[in-house]
Amino acid sequence: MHSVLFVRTGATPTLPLWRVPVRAGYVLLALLAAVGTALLYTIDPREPGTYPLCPFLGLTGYHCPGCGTLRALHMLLHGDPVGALGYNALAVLALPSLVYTYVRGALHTVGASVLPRIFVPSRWIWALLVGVLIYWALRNLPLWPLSSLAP
Amino acid sequence: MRCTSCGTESIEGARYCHSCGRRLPEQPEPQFGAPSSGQQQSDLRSTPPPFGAERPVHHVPSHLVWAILATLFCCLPAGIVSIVYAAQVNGKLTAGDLEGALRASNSAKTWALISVALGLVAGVIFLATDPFGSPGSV
Repeated sequence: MHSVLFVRTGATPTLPLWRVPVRAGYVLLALLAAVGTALLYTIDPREPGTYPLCPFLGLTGYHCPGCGTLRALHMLLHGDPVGALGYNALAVLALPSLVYTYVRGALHTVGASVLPRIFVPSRWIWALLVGVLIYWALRNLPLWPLSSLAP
Repeated sequence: MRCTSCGTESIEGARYCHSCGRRLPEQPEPQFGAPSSGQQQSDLRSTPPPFGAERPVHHVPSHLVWAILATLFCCLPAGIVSIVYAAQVNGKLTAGDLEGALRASNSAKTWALISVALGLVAGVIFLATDPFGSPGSV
């Protein structure tokens, strides 16, 4: 029974079989992130014509909540967090939670469940939704203090 | 006893796994001896969960990370819908509605996949029609 449900690997003695494709997914994500990081570091998204335009911006002419994410990540990679916040504050603030979730899950697949799973209470997620919608609206208003939210 | 979620050997008498925080299966009742020793056992067994009392017993994925990724990189309404379902998953979990949480979780997963697909389609259409036309990118 156990020999069917568990598979032997080099790193750890026994792992459930379901973890193997999940782990391949994490490796694939890491490779994609490495390629993306190298591209974003070397090719400046502030230069026109370097990356495809946001479909929402192209269709409507308005900024979406994600517009400026590539430029923000480019600024972060070049050690300018203030510049990054100016292009997309939402992306910069969300980045630690994305990284934490990835690292926690990746460690879990190799049997090292050392980081706790963080349960986000639903009212925080509703607050996030309201925040995203307000951010979306405000960065499209052409008034001075708000227009700085636009990328 | 081993945790059914992460496989860590649990501390004797614990109700929650010290590694992943998940609730452990019910253990057989301790021997009924003198009332004092029974009292001690029950004190030991009521060890609080490590991360807050609000933490629900069951884990159902809310796919919140995919909702955030869809909102940032895809900017289609699917990202917003995914956030709504993620909030429903954790709200129903806290309320103890496990079935409702599972339904919302499945919807969140579906919308995460839809947003990825829509984002790819939109990207392909734009590459075909207006490749790198205007300043400003995703």
